[in-house]
Amino acid sequence: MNWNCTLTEERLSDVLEGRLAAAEASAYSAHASGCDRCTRLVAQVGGVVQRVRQLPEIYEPPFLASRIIAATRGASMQRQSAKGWFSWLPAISPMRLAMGVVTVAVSFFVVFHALGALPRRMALNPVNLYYSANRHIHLTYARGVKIVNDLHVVYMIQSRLFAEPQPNAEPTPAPDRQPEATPQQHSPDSYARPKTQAAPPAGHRSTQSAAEFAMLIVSGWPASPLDEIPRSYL
Amino acid sequence: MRRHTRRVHNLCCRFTGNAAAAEDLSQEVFIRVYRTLASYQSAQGAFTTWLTSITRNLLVDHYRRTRRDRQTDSIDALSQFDERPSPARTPDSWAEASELSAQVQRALTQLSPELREAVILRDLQGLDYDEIRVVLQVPEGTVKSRINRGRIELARVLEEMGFRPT
Repeated sequence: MNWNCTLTEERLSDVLEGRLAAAEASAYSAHASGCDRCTRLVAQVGGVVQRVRQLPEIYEPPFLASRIIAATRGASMQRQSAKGWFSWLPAISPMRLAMGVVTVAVSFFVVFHALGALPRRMALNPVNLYYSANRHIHLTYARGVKIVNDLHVVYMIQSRLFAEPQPNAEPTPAPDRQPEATPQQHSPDSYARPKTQAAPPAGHRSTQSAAEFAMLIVSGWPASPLDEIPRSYL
Repeated sequence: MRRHTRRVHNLCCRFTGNAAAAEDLSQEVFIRVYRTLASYQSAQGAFTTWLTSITRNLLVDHYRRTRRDRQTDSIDALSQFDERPSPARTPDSWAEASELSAQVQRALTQLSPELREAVILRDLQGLDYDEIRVVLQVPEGTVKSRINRGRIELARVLEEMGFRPT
């Protein structure tokens, strides 16, 4: 077999790694013994290959594994969210859901039992529930109206603005009093007074009641005990 | 995963010559592995070969995307590699070896991607010709030819850089 420099280049890896057949190896040896170019080429490339194989191992940064795990978990979560509106359903374990429902029911039972407000069997009827809810709504509204009306300040303002004349007071007004207000200046509300009575002077009385209201705000709201809800409402 | 992380990271570092790009590519490799794990079949070959194929494909895509932005002679990028010396090396020999490693790495990044991947897979990753054939999806003759030409070209580049093999 004849060997030449072109074959040396073409089969260089096999020469370096000893993968030549016996006949090829002897042909190469015969050629290389008289060819400086091929000898230099084999030595140079052989040295480079050896140096490349001795390159040290590169250690990955310590956070790389954590980043990969986080990225793969994020990818799986994005895949799940992309499945639709009900993608969260499989995530709910039936066992956990059942345990949660039982825990909530037991908690409500314990609380109602402690309060002494366990519902009777008839109270769970939907019709009874409707009537009960309707009654409670009206009761709540009535309580709210009563609270507002019981506010002491409101009572004072209303009483000042629309005060009834005193039994011992003179029927004729004082000389320094403001002239009678025209009927058109009356407040059109449910506290309409008979036409025979003199309307209170709006300017002076409103200013005085506003000042009292301001004083009340500064001094604090007065305690206004609320009446107990009549038992007939319950 | 941790066992394969270093292998993939090394391949990405040696191919790109950039530590930051290698970290991102390593992460992308395992994300793709996680997504396509169901498609892997043992009849196709070893898991390592399949993992190397995915890594190589991403490296080629990255190379094509960053062709214009690539820095071929960046010494700063090479200095970011966390290369650990072997216990047998003395500090002086390690410093010299470190300089030689940087020189070889710079020469590697100057090869064309086809020759570079062939040399890295054969001489750094230790794959045999059949595994490289599967990874590169080319005939074995082409694999041998690329390895051959890659080694010769690498030696030429190193000679121009003044490298003298010991």
